Amino acid sequence: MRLRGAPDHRGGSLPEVVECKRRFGTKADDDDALGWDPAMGMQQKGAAGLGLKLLFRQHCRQRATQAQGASLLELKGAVIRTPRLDLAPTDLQIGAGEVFGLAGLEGSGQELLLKACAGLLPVVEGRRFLAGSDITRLGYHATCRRGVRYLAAGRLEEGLVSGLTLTEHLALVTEEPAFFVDWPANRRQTAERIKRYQVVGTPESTVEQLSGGNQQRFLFGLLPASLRLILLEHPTRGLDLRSTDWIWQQLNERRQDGTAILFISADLDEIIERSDRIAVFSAGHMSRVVDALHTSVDELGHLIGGQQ
Amino acid sequence: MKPAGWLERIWPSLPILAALLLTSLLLIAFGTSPAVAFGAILEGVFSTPERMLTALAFWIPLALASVGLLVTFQAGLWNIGIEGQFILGALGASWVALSFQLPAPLQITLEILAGMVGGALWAGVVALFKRWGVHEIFGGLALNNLAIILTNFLIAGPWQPPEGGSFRGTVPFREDALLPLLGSTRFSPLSLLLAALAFGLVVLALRNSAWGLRLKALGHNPRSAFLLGVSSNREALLAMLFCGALAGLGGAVRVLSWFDSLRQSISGGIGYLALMVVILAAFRLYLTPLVALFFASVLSGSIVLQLRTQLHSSLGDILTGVMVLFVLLFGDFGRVRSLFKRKDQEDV
Repeated sequence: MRLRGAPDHRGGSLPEVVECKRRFGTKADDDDALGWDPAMGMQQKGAAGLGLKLLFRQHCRQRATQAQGASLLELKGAVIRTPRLDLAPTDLQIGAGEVFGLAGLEGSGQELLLKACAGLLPVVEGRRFLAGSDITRLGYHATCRRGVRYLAAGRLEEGLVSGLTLTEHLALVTEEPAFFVDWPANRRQTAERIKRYQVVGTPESTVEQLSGGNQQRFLFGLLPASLRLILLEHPTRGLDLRSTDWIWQQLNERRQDGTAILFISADLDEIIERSDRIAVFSAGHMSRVVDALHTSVDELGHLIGGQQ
Repeated sequence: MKPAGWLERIWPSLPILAALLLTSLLLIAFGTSPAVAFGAILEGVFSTPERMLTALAFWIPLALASVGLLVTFQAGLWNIGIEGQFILGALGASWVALSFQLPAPLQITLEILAGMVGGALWAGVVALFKRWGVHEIFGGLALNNLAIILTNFLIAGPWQPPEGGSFRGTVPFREDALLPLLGSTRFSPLSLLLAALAFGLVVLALRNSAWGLRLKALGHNPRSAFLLGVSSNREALLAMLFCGALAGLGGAVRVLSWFDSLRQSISGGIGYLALMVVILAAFRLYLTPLVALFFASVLSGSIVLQLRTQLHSSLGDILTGVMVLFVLLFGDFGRVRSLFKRKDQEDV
């Protein structure tokens, strides 16, 4: 088993990848054009599509290793304590542009790690670094100011404010707001975001009137244009296929700019398919980091059960 | 299910009518004609310009405290400590009135500022306690009692009249230290101007400022608001200070125009009354001063009620209290309907 998958190929001219692109009708020099819908198509073709699926993952994996520069987020011997569960000292390194999946039964410590990365929980021992600078002591808002965002699973509980309209949400997240809110300008901007993020709603809709998929789209629409790290709790839980694809398309577009993605999911297929690397949590311990390309649901299952 | 449409529209007035009905029944039980009693209240408010101005003079401190509460309610805070903040405002103004001998404009400005600082200070302590994990209701109640004790201590001790402590009040303030009154009434046009300014400020803050929006988010869902970048501690403190300053202004106006000296029960429960006003107004911005005016009218009209009938003037308190109770119980049409629906389902 490879730990941090040493990339054995670089550059976009690998024959399989070119073939993969050709089949799905994308230009060979355009990495972005290969969206996620073809992948879903492949998935449905069953056994015949399996080889292609692997190729596709390889293709994405490769893009990540290209983008992956210096370590962006780093935890060194981080210990997190909560009344219910303690996270044993954990080392973790995530590169720019990398997608990192956290698996495990709910409440095994992956939520604690994600919250600690956001500054929502204190790292009581050890250190937390972002792009080389020590941010161990920074709280959530200070961490956010350094280009980090945290999207929780409960969209109406921990994300959007029921009773507030879409326009009010956008005005709320405006960075360096003026003392008085320019409502007409905010309404225009909201209408524009609604269009760009394909939200079914109006600027005057309150968020609880939106469907789950549209709430998640709107939450993405509220994110600043440039970010270093996005932390997500079950980003596609309860969403239909189309919204799920759309979410990952958004995240993959962002990783092109070097944004790292760290996410929790209960869906092992999703974790294997979307991640570059994976860590599994079991009773407050993080497993070795596995390469998504060379792992299987079976192996992750064993790790979830606590076997090494 | 068609009747629900018109029922929903007239619903908000029903608790008020029900309260009037219940009070009428009470009056009949005590052997008084409701028509005479309510007529006496109306007479007490509207019969002469002086009486109308008296109701207005009572209204101003109440309105100041009420619109201040709109700010804390917007942030989801139950500022029950407003009573203490009101009293501290009166204490602040009295301290300046008793300690300085300045020309009237300067003296009055200083008194009003001291009142606002006093109220804000008391509110700030509640916010500080909240940060340490003490809920604002408990912190506020404790500070309300402390404010009353402080008043009694000052009246009986350091600020007692030269002829000796009487527990009644301080010596009357100098003429220059009091707000200029209109004729022989207790109404001060300056205080009306201040109240109008305060209301305008609250409207601007809550409707148009980014701060008001942050408070609204905080009031609806503190967790989401925090995750969206709202600093809950800071905004809660600012909301409390803002409300405390307005309540303190109300206290200063009360002691400098309604009274002429610091009395034992300087507030007389205006802070608690303001809470009832805002609840009866369903936390609505423009309704709040109007409901405060209604309260002020009923309560100041009740004095004539006592003269005309043999009833105690607390009938006004009963009327307003029952109204608030009915609004809390039945005011929310959706809630009442769901109560009945649930019962239907249980029957099936």
